[in-house]
Amino acid sequence: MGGLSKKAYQVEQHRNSTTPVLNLDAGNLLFRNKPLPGQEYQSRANAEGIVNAYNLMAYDGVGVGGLDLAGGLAFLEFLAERSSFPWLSANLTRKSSGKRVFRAYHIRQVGSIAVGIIGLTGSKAAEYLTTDDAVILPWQEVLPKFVAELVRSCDMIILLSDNALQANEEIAQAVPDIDLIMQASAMAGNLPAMQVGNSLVTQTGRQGKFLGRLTIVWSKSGIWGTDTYRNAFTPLDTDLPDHPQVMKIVEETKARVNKPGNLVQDFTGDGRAIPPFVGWNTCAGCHEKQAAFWQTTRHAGAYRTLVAARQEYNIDCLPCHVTFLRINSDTPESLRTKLPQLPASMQQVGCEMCHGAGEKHVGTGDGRSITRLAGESTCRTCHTPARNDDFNYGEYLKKICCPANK
Amino acid sequence: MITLQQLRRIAVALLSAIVVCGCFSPVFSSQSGSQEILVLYSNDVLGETEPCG
Repeated sequence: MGGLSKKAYQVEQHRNSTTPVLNLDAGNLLFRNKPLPGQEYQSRANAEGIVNAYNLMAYDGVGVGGLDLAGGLAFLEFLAERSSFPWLSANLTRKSSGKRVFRAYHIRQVGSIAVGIIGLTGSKAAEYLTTDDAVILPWQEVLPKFVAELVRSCDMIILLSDNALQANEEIAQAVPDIDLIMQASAMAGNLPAMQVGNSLVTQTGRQGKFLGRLTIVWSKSGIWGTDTYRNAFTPLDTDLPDHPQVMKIVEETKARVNKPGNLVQDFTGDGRAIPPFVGWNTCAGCHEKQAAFWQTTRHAGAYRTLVAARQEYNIDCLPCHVTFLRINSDTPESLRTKLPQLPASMQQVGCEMCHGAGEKHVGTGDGRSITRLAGESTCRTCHTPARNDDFNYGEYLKKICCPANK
Repeated sequence: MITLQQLRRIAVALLSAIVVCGCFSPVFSSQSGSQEILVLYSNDVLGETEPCG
């Protein structure tokens, strides 16, 4: 959420200009995935921080995406009560009452234009619904009706859609009164505005790294042409100015996330590595030369960077900064809760993250029970395109490959 | 007493001001029948490496 303060600054600058501004988010902003047991507090603290920041940015409408439901529907309703902007979903409905959980649409006057903003939750969001009393209706059942209502009082209709491009293209063809579709799909890059039927479809890429800007010269005809819009994306780079108040929210949220007592049960380790790991110092007993080299690599200091950022208890960050199991939904809670309180010999990306856990190797001395050279897939577990878009296996291997014994 | 020439000058100045404002005003112009607005948009706020450092 570090880009929030950059985005807030940009939004404020645009609001200070003379052109009327509409500030929208298509959704999927609160969670990265469904929080694992033990991780809920941290994930929810992040989500609350985002809502607080969005309140300051005076959003005009936010779509309910599947990932916004990943903390539970009740939690999103809790946040919606604390949001000064409308959460919109025309199709998330309670089975028992048949009523929508959130508002279907919101009308906003922008300059001389009445803009109707509708939210649509994607069909895949059903996997995040933890209650049997909620259902995501097909867009065919809801959109034509709500759009027909909006056409009577609005000049322009915008859909915030959690669906993928293909579904949105179908919507654009089937409901031609929608003028603009803003997506929140899992698309990696930006989607420049493209015309589909009477609609423009656009999206910013994943992870909030860009702010989309669509300047519209709107006429009563409502017909798109090359001279009726300009589209650009502002990269929210680290060198951009921060919005001081939103920056304060981000810092407070980070501090809240990084409280160990909120994350883990009591764990009293004896200082030894947790099997099947043995810790780098055990490896160094026989592989002194290699261990000395490893100490000079960034892998050895990976945990220290978390401490410097005050995120050493952040379960989202820890797996790529320590020597431990890859945490997933199959990991027993007894092991998962140890992640933030590992012994010192595991507080690095140690030997065993490349060569595999060493317990068997140490017990038998058998060289076949250890991986000599980590394959690219091992590195890619952490060096994902999102984190390291310039990652090159061969080049990076040179930086961390241990010297031979001879 | 305002002369006819002065009146003409005032009228020309007023008309010019109206035309200039109509051309450069970013808000709705009834002459062109169009309105310029800026839509800011985003999604998926959580950056994968944030706030790990």
